[in-house]
Formats: sequence, structure tokens, C-alpha cells
Amino acid sequence: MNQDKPPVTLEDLLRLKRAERPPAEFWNEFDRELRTKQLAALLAKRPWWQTLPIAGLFARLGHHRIPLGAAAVVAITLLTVRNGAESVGLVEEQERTVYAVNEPGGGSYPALVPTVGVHSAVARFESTPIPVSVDQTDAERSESDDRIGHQDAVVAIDMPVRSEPRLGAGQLSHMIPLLGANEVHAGNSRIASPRYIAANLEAARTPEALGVGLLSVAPRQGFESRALPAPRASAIDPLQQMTPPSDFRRSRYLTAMVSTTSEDSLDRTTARMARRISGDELYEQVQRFGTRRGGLNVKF
Amino acid sequence: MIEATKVLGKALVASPERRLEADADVDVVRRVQAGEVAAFDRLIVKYRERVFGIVYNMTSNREDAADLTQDAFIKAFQSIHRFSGQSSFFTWLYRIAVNSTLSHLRKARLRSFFSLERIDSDEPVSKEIIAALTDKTGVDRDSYVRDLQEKLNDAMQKLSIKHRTVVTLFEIDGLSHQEIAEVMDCSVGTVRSRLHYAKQLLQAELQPYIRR
Repeated sequence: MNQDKPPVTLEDLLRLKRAERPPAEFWNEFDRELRTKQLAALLAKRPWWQTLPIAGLFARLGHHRIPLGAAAVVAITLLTVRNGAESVGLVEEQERTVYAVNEPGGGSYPALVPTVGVHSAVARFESTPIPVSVDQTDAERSESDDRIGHQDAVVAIDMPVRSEPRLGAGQLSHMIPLLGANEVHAGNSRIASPRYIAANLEAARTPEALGVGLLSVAPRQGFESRALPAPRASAIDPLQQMTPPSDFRRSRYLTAMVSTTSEDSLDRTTARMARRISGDELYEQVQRFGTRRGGLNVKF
Repeated sequence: MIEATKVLGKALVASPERRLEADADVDVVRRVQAGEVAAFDRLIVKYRERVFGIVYNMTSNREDAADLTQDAFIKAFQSIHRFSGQSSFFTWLYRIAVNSTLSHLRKARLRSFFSLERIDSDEPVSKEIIAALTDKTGVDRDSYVRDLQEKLNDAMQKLSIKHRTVVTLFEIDGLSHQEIAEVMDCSVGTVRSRLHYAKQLLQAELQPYIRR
């Protein structure tokens, strides 16, 4: 059967293609068209990027464009993830401010008064203790308030999350747990977590701790239910972690009001106000109250 | 016949001649780089048929081959100042032509039209081959040649672009493995591997025409 096949190889057949040649007149036309294109190329202005000295470098890098592009994508992704993690970590932080409330009798004790402000998404939180004294004058208070106002760029919530051994039972009666801070990093001992806040609140509400039957509000009712955030999981939307300015305003004025009213009416006032009064109403009502020289002024 | 093809193949692959050509080209290129634009015409006349042959056998379309060959010369003319002489001019020109053709084939993969040149049966090598094929089969020579050309073209088009390029450069244009590796910017081993694979496929396709 092989005898019938022609004695040629594959290489011979392929060389046969060399004989596929255009006729002579084809080259005349070819030369004419090429001359036209060559003149056009001479007259055409080259793009500016081709005139750059590094154009050759770019051309050489073009061979490696796929690995270079992949490396660039990986680098950008890593940078994005890293920056994103840092900003989330900052937003999740809480800060605190210790309000030292001067007892009428003399001593200064920390109170659970969170102050809230928004710096920015990547704000660094600072803790600035601002003393608030009952005995201070209006000028001093306004100055103090100004200092608070100047910290509008600071989110500061300083919670004495652990019981102070220096405080006695009587002194604890002046510790006013008003608002709970939002959850914070559990690893930071200086930052209160919701669990600590709740525990402190419970401890502050008990008659044994307070010495008197103040703040005997049922748990999770009335004011506390609104003021204290519910415990949540660790991964929470950063916007939900920020206390709204209305809460901040309310806490400030409640602090001022409670510290100036009698202890007997403290629980009723707090509960009623927390239950009924909105932030704006509270703000208006608090405007009526003031202290001057250790006394209470009420405007009607 | 075999002796003739061996001599022809040896002449095409002979490196010393290529080197002499390359040395002569360098002088012309230097003149073009110095501003003597007309000197480039010598390079065009010298290489236009070979470049056209490569592009034609890669595309199987004479019009596309003519355009791509012209474009290759224009690109070479525009970039002549970047030619540093590290490789020979024809290798550099081939690389431009092959890359332009590969780019064109990738873009026009779905629309391929074939327009083939007529085989010059008066050319000595082709005359011998055609005679060897037609004498024993006893069929009409012209129709047999046309049929063979179509079969050959079909077999070539069934190869991938890179395999087709390697076969064209080695078997038709007669470049060495090293020169093909320089033109295609790959290793010599890759060239050999592609060539071996492409020949296997072509042998399977052209089984009725070749001798085992």
C-alpha cells in the first residue's frame, strides 16, 4: 500500500508553499502604496508619549504587563484592606471623660457622665477630665461648658468601670450613673464595656451602695432603657456606636439638674423626665434651672 | 530532489550568510539613522518578499499580507532610531512583522478569508515536488496542484497561530531554531516543542500526500 503513495515528505510539501508568490505587478502596486504610507508617516506627528525617552522602557515592560498588573492589583488590595481595618478599629473605639463632681461637703468623685462628640471617621479619641463643680459659678460653668464645646471634635466617654476602693458607701451616693457608654473594646481596661456599665448601674441603684433609696428605677425601664444601649455583639456598625448629640445634651443637663435637686426627688424627676421629655423639651426645661452660689434658680 | 531541497534548506539556514547580510544591513541602517531616508528603500527591496512570504503563510490572505508587510516596514522606519544593532536587522524586522501579524490574527480570529497566490510550478523545487506527486498518481497536474494547495492551506489553518508561525519560519522561510526563538521572543526549547507538535498535526492532516 505504501508503494502507491507519492515519495514526498511533509517538509517537501511545506516547501511547496514557497512557490506561492505574487506576480511582478503586485510588487509595483505594493511599492506605490508603501511609498504613500511612508510619506504619511514622515508627515504625521508622533504622539507625545512616543517621543519620551522612557518610551522604550515602557515598551520593554509591556512584555511583563500581566505580572506587573497582577502585582499592582494585589498591592492596592492589600493597602485598601489595611487602611480599612485601621479605620474600622478606630471607629470601634470609645472614649471617655471623667466628670469630677464636687460633693457639697468637699470631696471630688468621679461620675459616670459620658460626653459625646464626633471628630471624624478616623478621629483619635482623647480623654480629658473636665471638673464640674456644684459650687462653681455661672461663669465657671460656662467656661467649663465652653471647654466641653471645644471638644466637639472629640468623642470622649470616660467610665470608671471599676469600683473605686477609695469611695465609701456614702460617697457613692454622689456617683450618678446616668448614661451608659456604648460598647468598647473589651481588651482596654480603661474603657467601659456594656457589661461593666450595666454592673455599675446596678451597683449604683442598690440601696446598700447608694445609702439611700435613690435611683431605684426598675432595670431597663424608663430612662435607663433609653440611655443604656443594649449589649450587642462585638462586630457592630460604627454609626450605631456613636451616641447621638441629643443624648449627650440630655446627659449633660440631667447631670446638672440631678446634682442640684434634692435626693428625695431625684428618682422621680429622673424617671419622669426620661419617660416623657424629649431631647428638645429637656433642653428647654433645663434652661430654666440654674445654680448660683450653691442655690437653685428656677425660671418660669 | 532530496538533494536539491537539502541544499536549498542549508542555504537558507546558513548562519555565515546571515551574518554577512546582517553586517551589510547595519551599514544601511546607520545611514538611515543619520538621516538618509532613501537608504531605507534598499532594505525594503531586499526583504519585502521574505516578509510578505511569512505574513502570507501565516494569514493565507494576500491582501492582508500586503497591508501587514507595509505596516511592518513603516513601523521599522519609524523606529529605526531605536535599533541598536544588538540583533540583526532582519531578525528585528521579522519580529515586527510577526508581532503585527499575530496581533492581526488575534483580532480577526472570527473572520478569516483566504485568498491564495498561485503556486509557481516553474520554480525548480516546486517543479520537482509536483512532478513526483503527479507522475505516480496520473491525475491532471493543475487540478492536483490546486487541490494540494487547498489541503495544505487547510492543514496550516488548523494549527494554532504560534504553531503556524513556527512552521512558517522554520520550514518555509528557513530560519534556524535560534533565530525563531529571537523573533518570537521565546526559548529554543519552546520552538522545538512547537515545531514537533505542529508537524505531528500536519502529518495527520496530509496523510494522503506524504510518505511515511
